[in-house]
Amino acid sequence: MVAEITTGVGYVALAAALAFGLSAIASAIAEKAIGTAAVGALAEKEELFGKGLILTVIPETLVIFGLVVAILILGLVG
Amino acid sequence: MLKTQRMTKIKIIGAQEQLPLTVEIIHKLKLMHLLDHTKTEELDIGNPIGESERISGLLVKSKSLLSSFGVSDIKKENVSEDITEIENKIKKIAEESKESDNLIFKLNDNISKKKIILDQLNILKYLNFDSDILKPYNYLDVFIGTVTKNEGLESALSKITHKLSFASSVYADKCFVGVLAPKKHYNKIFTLLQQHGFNMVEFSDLSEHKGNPKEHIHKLSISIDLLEKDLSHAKEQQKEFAVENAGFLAGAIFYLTKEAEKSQAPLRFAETKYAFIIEGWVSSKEYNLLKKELEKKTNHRVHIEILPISETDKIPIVMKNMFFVKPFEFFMHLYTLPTYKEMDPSFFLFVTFPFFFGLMLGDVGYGFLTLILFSLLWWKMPKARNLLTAMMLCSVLTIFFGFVFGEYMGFESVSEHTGEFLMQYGIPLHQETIHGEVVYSFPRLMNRLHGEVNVLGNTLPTVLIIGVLLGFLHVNLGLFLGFINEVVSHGFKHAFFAKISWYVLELGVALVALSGLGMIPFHIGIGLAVIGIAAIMLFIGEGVQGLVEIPAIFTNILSYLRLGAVGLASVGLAVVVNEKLALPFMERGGVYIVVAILILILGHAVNIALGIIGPFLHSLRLHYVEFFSKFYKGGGIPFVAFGEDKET
Repeated sequence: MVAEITTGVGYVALAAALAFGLSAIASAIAEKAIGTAAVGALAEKEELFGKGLILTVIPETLVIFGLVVAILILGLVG
Repeated sequence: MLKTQRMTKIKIIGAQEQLPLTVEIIHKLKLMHLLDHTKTEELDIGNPIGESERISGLLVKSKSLLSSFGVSDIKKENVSEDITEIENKIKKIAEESKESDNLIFKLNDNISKKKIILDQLNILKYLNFDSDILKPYNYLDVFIGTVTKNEGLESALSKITHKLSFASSVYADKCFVGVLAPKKHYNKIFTLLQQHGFNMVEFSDLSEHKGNPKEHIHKLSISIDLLEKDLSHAKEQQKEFAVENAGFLAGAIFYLTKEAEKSQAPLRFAETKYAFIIEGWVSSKEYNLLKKELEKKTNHRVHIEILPISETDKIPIVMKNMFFVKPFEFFMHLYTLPTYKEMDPSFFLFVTFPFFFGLMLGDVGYGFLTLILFSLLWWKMPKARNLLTAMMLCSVLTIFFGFVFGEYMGFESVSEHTGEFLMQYGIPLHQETIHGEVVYSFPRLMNRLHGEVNVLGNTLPTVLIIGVLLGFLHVNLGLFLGFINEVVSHGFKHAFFAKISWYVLELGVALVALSGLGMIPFHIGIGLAVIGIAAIMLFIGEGVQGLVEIPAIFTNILSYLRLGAVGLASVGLAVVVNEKLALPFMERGGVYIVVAILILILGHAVNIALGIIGPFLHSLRLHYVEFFSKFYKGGGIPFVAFGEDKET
């Protein structure tokens, strides 16, 4: 099966890639700051591991939404 | 199951003479969580009992000895319970250890001194001098040392005077020179030598090594060899001694720590001149046991009473769960313990954590491999058993969902040839034609990778929809638990406004959406009115903060999209490893099959590593962030029984 690749399909693919890629970058930037602070807090008090871990993965939601949006966009071309 | 262990606050009062015995009994029973008394004008804190200082001193000594031994993998020995005996043995160990330290120091010192002399004799040997040359002369000066450049030195020297003797040689990568010359030329010669980067050797007293250095060198080398043998022997003996005694020291430290704990316990009690008061918590079902033991062993000479629990009391927490829920208490310790009035959510973690994990990873092959991995780690790491038991349950659910999705190491189907082969052994595959190729698919309840549903005209992957539905259920369960918690702690009215309002809000949003889409014959205003009511209820229940959080509940539910998305990413990677990376090599045959196998092993190893970390964190996060925020506050302090073994 070789789908006919038109300019429109190309744009859709690009849009999906941007939705996923940009949200991944956004997650990374947010996690970077939180991760740094979490490691700092861990050095002071090791019991905070659980909370630090959870705070660090909170922005992970962004990339999940990005992935979902990408899937939705790809759904446009079927 | 949902409640933590009920606690009773007690007070033990007795005369001073009963204190040591009382402490001994409580320490042995390990049932009581002590409360520290703060000093007041009427009631001072107590004084240590017994030989507190002697015990602390011994503890410090044995700890420092053990750490100086540097022995790893120590087996703790049982020690006698006689302090004097322990003290004598520690003293003996300290003495012997000091003796062997001294011996090693002496040997080292001796060897290094001899090596210096050997070095100097070697210099003389290479310059062809006798050691007698170093004795003071009336008319001659002796210069022996290193130079940085040797060229032209001899001819320059002979220009100053002919009456000199010159020798040079290379030893230990350095250029040594020796010059004997009349004293009157001292300044000239010294200046010239300095221009060549001269550095005089400071000789030690070589009076014992007169004459030709060669013989002395031979003798010295032999004696250094012997000393070094002695040294390595001494070091070996020291090591053996350390290994022999480390077990005793570890045992002594264990015993002394307990004794120190007991003798210093009165510092946490209230005391008057003649009496003591101990306050603390004991689990309600063990209160009678504690009371009976204390009364029996002290002949009713101490008085025990139950204190009323006040609002401000920080009640220590013991979680109380069935044995199969126990491992999940680990996640509560990782986050924060429930408070006394709250419910303990370990049971919900037990139900949904492995379920979410399995749903995300969902592969029969990965399930079995991770199960083997976790079982091995379970044997190897006794300290992490709680977590690993929980993870093994996750693996089982992964296998279950693997069968549901029909995924085996990322394969959904096999080729015609393999399929027919497997069918002969009774494996129920079914024939399909995909992209004009005949393949045999594994049996499944739903197709994760390609399954799609139509929602309001949009085609969406089924797993994402399942994720959101589960999210809706999970978040609402959280709200319901929150309702119960609030009823217990703040009464029905507050609970109704703070938690039921969220249900009303969801109803309002559903009404607006359905009437907007024309699926129900209501005016859109009805839905908006319901949302308005919900907002007012929220404002009453939780104040402005509640209103601000209104959008959060929807992002929370949408957050469960990850249940599908993480799984899609994981199976996607597995498919890439199988079909895009390994398959092309496999089809070429011959040596390339080895390459394909290597790619498969490496690719799936990476994917399993990601497949453990990803679903673990995401499942945990769904509980901690989305689920717990609806009902759980936490902040309880752990119950630490006086006398409980601590890891040293």
